[in-house]
Amino acid sequence: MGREFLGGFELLVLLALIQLGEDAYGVPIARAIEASSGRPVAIGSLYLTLKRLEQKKLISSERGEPTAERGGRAKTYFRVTAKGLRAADHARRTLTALWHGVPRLQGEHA
Amino acid sequence: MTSIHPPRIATWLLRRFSTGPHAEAIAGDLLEQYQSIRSPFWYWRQVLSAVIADMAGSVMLHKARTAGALVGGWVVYFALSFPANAVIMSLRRPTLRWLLRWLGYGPEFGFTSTTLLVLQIESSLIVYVACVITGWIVAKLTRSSASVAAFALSLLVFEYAMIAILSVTQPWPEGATFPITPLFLVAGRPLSAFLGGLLAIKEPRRSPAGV
Repeated sequence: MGREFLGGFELLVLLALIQLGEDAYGVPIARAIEASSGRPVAIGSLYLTLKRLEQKKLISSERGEPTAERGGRAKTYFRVTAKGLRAADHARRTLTALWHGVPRLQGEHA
Repeated sequence: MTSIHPPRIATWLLRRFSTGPHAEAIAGDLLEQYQSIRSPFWYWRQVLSAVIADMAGSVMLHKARTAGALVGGWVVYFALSFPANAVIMSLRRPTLRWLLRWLGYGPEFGFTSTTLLVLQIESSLIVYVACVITGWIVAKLTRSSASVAAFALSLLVFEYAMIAILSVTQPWPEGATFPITPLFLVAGRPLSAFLGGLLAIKEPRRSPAGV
């Protein structure tokens, strides 16, 4: 079976989900990515990516309980599947192998 | 002080147009973040990007349905252009006669800038009705606001492309000013088609506790 490449933002989302574990829903996922990348994350684009990862069966979702501070709206929790973990590991190995072949970047300190 | 409640119109837009499986979670996440950010501008930006992302995602996911909406929409739009033109032509003379009488001109006066503008608005309103019907039919056939939006967008692109082509190929009358009015009036066509689609698609139900 051919393995699909993960997009840049897809990989960030997948890694944030692994990092957050049980508490992975929209707001903490967006904050985790913002904290590591230093760039603001639009919730709409985040959910579009989550939907795509779900279609690829790399993550699964589960509806939580509605809460008052969210205007009675339920959270949706996301979890990485075994296939998702394998995809993240494969991406890590691919990136590591490629980085080994890259000479030191201009301006980079030792 | 900024309200703890996000802008109502933006929330309504989100409820109306975000229809995916995670629509409720998106609305909740935005409300949760709004409590700490409290910027209506931020909220509007997030809502618009969420709605556009949701519609784009839906169009990409249902390519056949979108293609059907485009083909069906254009067939209906073309078919309705005949009765719409017939109505426009039949109303032109009585409207002009009534206008000239109302403005105090004799019947020997033909077109003035005022009568031309009124006739242009009148014909545009008739075309808008045709567009509303077209959007309504597209929505009834596809049951998707994303498909209606795709059709409305194609209408917008087509109409402005036609204006651009005509302005390049047709000789520009000497002393004529840039036709601002038709540019505004043409924008009403895709908007009417989208409005027609909205009339056909019921608002998705949400939990009563929602904002």
